Amino acid sequence: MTTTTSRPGTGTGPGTGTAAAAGTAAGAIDVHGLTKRYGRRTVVSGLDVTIPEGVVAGFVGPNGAGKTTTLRMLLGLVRPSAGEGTVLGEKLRDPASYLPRVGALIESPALYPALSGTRNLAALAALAGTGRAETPARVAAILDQVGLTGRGEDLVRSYSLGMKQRLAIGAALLTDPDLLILDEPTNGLDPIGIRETRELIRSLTARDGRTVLVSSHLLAEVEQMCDWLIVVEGGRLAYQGPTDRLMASRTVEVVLRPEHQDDVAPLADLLAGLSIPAVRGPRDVVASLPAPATDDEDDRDHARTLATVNRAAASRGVTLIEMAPRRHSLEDRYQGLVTRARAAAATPASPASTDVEPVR
Amino acid sequence: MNVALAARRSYRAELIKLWRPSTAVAMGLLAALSVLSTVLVISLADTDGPAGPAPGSGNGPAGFDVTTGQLAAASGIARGFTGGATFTGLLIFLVCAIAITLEYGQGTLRTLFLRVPNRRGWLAGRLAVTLTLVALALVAALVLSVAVAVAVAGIRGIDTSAWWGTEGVRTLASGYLNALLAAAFFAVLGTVLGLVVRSTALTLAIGVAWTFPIEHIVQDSWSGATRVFPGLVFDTISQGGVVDASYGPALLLGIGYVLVAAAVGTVLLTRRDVTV
Repeated sequence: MTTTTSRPGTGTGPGTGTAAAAGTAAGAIDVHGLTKRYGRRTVVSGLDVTIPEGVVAGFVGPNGAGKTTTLRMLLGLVRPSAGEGTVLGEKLRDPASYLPRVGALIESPALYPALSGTRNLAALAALAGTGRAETPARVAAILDQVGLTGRGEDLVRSYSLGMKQRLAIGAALLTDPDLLILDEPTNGLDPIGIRETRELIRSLTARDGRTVLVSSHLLAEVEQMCDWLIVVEGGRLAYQGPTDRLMASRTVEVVLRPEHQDDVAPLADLLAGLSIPAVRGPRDVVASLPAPATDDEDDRDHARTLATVNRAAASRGVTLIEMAPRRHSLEDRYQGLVTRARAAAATPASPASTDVEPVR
Repeated sequence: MNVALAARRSYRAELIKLWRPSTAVAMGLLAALSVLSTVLVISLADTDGPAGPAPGSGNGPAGFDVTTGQLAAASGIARGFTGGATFTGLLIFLVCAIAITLEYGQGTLRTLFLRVPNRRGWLAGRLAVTLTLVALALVAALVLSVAVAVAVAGIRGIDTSAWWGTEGVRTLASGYLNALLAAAFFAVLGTVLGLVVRSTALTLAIGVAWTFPIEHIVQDSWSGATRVFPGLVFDTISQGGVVDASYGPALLLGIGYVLVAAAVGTVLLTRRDVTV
């Protein structure tokens, strides 16, 4: 499934790119109105989450936005105050029916420090019903997959945080799950470990078609890793949909830098004359031009606009030494989403703050 | 996943977790307590007293308050072992309480529940493993206790010929079963206290304070406490009955306490959010 509802402005709906290609008739996760209240405090408020099968979905939001509580509700650890839906086609309210097909790492790695890595995994394998005969081979394969071969017999208390994190990811993979839910999986990892984890997660979907839901604060990681994105703020949905849709823009900012600093003002006037929006800086001008698209005709339009600007500048004696497109990062988009969501939540007349228009 | 399947898996997983040196140390400590109790009971036995009733009759001295005459009777073979049952029960109570709070403290409870969504089954399997180990540890404690009792009785010149008849074996068997029952009850109560409180420090504070000073202070001024308070009731069961409380009513009340505790534990475990 791609989606069953198309909420205005949330970005849900038939996806594009990888996410849409991977989406099937039934989503890996499809929950509606998910709410958690502790007394009078609402931690998660009417969250609709739809994740197609076979994607790596990023789950981002500021601290206290309700990410971990949402993940705990999806995993049956926390009982929702309201909300219905399905996980792997089974009812959310019956987690026992889908948890055997789910692997998860929630918050910090929760392991037995007085046991070895191998025994930690063996105990979890026994709980999952892995046979005695199969357990050693399965545990060895997992240790190899997470790069802990050779340290399996060491006590977990002697592991570094990064090693514990790897072992916890291994524990989540132990049952070869269809859905993997990872809460901050790169916490405590060094740059190489982060890269390896990213590659591992990507390989899980590319090779086996699994669905992975990753909560992370590392937006650059999310941007590189995830083809589906869910942004929450204050327990409410701020965006969900394909990452490339969020990142897509109708315009692209191009930094135009003249050879001489004195030419900045004439360049800005020239752009104004061409009706091209621009922001003047001390050494350059940032112009908003039509974004290049995958469509050939649009690409030619973009190139023609650049050529027009370049010729006009040259005709006025302004030599451009740089024409560099400035790419929006997920951080920029995220900042915008969170700011808008907060503003919407603060406005009494706008209770539907989850319907924040995604950044275009 | 039904309860039985979850319990079976939980049993196997807990065995893997407990197969480590610290488990052997705990079991050894339990046996050591029993040996210590045996040495003290026989060494400190009063030589002047008459041969009194056997433990469990409900109207005779139990635990450390014995005479050499009583020790020379068939029931004397189990005096040391049953005398230490109070301490072994408390040790099991504390170990179980700490073990469950550590699952909260380390956050491992969430990892376990992700693999075994049937929490009742998980609890049943865990308690079954605990009781298996306690049963084994008590067997070791009993064997060591008897061996030490023979040695110390020899040193004190106590005649042990009556120990080896049918009555001696019966006393030994009933002493073991009573100690096992009391230990099982303490294990359930410790586990449930841990589930309720969730904090290791607080569980220890409440558990130790209640079962050591509070119950006994009240008992000093009100003998009825022996028939009512859970720690004292379980102690009565382990002794096969004491002066202030007979065995039968204590066993019934003990079963009642355990059933209520198990119900509370099950409700808490299945209904409460896992936020650790």
